[in-house]
Amino acid sequence: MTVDTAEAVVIGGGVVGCAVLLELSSRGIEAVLVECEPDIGEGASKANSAIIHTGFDAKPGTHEARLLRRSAARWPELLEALGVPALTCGALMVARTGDDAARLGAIQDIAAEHGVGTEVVDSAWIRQNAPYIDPSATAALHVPGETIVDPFWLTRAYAEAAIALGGRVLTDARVARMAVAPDSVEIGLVNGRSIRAGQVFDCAGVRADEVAALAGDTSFALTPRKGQFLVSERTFGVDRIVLPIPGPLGKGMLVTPIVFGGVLLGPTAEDGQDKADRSTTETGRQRILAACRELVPDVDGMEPIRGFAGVRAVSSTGDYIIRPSTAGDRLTIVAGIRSTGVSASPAIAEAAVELASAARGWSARQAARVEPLAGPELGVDAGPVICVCRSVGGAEAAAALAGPTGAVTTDGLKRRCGVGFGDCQGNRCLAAALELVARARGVLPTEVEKHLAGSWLVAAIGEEDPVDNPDARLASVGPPSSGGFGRPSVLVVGGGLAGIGAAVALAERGLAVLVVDRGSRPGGTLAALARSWWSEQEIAAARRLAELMATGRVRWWSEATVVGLGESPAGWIVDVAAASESHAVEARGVVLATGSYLEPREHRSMDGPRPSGIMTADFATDALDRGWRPGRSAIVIGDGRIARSVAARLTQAGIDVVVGPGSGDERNCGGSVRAVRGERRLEAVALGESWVAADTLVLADAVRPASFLLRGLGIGDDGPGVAMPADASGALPLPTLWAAGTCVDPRVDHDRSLAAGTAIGRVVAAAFMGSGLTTTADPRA
Amino acid sequence: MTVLAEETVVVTADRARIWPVFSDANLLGRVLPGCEQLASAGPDTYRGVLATKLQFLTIRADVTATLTDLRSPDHLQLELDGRPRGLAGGFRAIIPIVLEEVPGGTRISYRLELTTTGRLASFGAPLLRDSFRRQVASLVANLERELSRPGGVSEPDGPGPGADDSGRPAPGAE
Repeated sequence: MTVDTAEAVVIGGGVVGCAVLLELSSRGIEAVLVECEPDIGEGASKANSAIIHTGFDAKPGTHEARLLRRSAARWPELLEALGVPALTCGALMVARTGDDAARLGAIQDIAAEHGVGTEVVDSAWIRQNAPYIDPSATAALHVPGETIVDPFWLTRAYAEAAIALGGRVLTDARVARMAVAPDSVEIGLVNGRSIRAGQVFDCAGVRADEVAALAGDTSFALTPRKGQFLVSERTFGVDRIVLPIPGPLGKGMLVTPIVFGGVLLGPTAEDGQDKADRSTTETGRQRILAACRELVPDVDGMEPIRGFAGVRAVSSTGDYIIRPSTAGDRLTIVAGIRSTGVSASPAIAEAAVELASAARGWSARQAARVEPLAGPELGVDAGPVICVCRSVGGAEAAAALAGPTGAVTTDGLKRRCGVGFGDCQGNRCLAAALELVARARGVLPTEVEKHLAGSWLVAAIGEEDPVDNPDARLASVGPPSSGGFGRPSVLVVGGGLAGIGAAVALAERGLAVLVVDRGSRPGGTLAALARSWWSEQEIAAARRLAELMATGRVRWWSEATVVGLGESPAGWIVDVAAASESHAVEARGVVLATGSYLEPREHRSMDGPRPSGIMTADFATDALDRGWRPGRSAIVIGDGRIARSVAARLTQAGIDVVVGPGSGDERNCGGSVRAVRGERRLEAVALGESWVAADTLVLADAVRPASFLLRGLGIGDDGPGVAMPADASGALPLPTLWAAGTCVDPRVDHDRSLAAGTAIGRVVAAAFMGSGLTTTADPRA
Repeated sequence: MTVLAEETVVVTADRARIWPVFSDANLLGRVLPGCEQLASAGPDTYRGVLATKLQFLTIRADVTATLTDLRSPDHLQLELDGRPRGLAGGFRAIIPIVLEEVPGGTRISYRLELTTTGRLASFGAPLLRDSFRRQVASLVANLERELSRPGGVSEPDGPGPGADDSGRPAPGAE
């Protein structure tokens, strides 16, 4: 057994635990933080309202009120030093009745008692400054100091700053036993390792009572209060935190701007018994929407990009518990932090460490100033785009994987650099993200987890299994040779069926065409489908494309991503990012054939937690292409050619398709999934009224248009997967810009994409006829 | 294109001393926040590297700055085209600027019209707006510092080294 020693051990790697680690490290106290999950911040610290409260309405006389105010004084300098994304946007507490208005006055009095500046504003002020608020609002309490923050970034920044000062963080380090003695505390970890410490801080969040009980302290109890949230990419113009008059269970449901854009709605406040229950429900979703539309009517009908739930720790005392344990003063309890852990974390840490300082002889050790963190170091090249929805490049991902607090899970990578946060919720980039994490850690893909221990993503690794392509010559398309592409007349974004159709039609009419495609093989979504799933017309088009490429009449830039478009006097400037080079390509016209993504779980109403193993066919086929087995037993939803193809490929790879096309049990091929079960890896799926055991759920029954490129042009919609607004001829409301395929007409089978692309190619060629751009047309055109 | 900001600031310096700053690459480089390089690249055009701190990330961008619609002494438009290093995509900013004399200084009114592509577009308008406001605050402080230094800029009487006979700022030398 390995026995380590430390002056102090912090149990729990949430925002409070990491703040305590920094407080200790800044005083020169040798400290180790132990976290049971693979990454820090996996509890309530990643699932909360993301607000730094001023404490304006905190109950006077409580630890919470005092520590919120103490923290408020420290935040400006701390946020700057830690380099945490945060914005002081202010908050409006909305009154809609005379009684409400009277309560605002009482709350303002409390704020004044805390020294927090507020003002009561009338309905005219609200209409002028916050027109998104429901017109029934009669008054509001304006709290200008309320701040939004990225709570996970804060947690990591605390840890990183502590490590820079000598602190240590051990993950995958669950505490199995703890013995408090007069001269030390001995902690035993489940991995057999032991740590002997002079002082221990129990910052284990909602499980802090269970940790204390390991040492025999049963003096307090914590109960879980679950909060469900919804995330919207649309902001509805909301630029301040909007909240109701608080109720008995807390602040109520809020509409909160997110620091990186979009808004957060919620949380619910559901008292329960299961501390692991982070499931979301349709009932919760409807409650959030009902409550939030009373504040901001435009959220009605909002389509969330994602839902999630966090569990707050409610203490039996009704206040924070920061005191020595009944097991001995070498164990300090830091518990019951309820919903204000982020906001009060600096002062909670300070109070906890000072409490122990006298007994440990640390009083003379003053906290050093936290030196500014350097932030991610990016080189000149962005690298290949990993996440197309958010345009996150390889350089950013590499920075997020590096360093002492680098990502070790795919969700960790997402929270550090945004890979997977976009419309498709990571299904199109998960395989690449997983590969990056595995490579950075030097482990096999089977060892990479989604978030919690046991949330594996790949069951086994076999032979690489790329599908048969309609034309062998297309499979060999690679990155361009140096020399670039000159100046194409028309640039086609996307090499799926619509892109192929457009490129062929344009080239046959004599236009210089460049196709930019993310994939390594033409075909887009259908590139993952075996030849037998392509129609004769599609195979013929692919062959014709190959001929045109062989003669240089269609130029094809594979493994490259268009990240933006800008109008220019000559047409368009298209930003293209590739692995080794990025270009601004000028073209007279642009055809957007950006296709679609399979609808992920997050866009659906599906009750349950968020384990690994729920994926779209996009990830399933990416995994199979790499020789990975994405599960052991699968349910495939959908009955079109994509669902049938992926079910066949899964079966061929040795995965047991228990329900799905061709499985013998097709009971729900076209239906919806009601709920899922499994906290870490998927365990079962509710199909209709029955539960079916499976560790993998593959969604292949619906697609959403990939339309995010239009947002930068001001003609797109911030909602997830809203079709491009093309007219009947495929023209978008900007000159020489067209769209075709499933980005306009989201059909899961892509059965009209080739024809639509061909038609657009003809329209575009006709538009440029006589412009001098066309050369001799192909007689077959 | 999004109008990210439309605001005014007051600089405690005479307008006649501010205007020539735009024509002097050295001086402009000293007052532009985060300017790591700046050189003249033709008439009313500069190229350089600007570093912008976006709270959690310092973005270095290769930037081309062009002055258009110059109407001395009170109006010009600054156009910036940039490509951030290490991030996919780019940005284009159009900033019409009006300078008015007010007691004790110059009121500068500006509007920022910003188009972002790629990664910058995913950072969201609130963060970009906050960063821009910090930049403007730094710019004002830098301007006031530079213009309070002896010889920091040409004197208002007569065309200085940074301005031609028409009062139009001439391109500065590196």
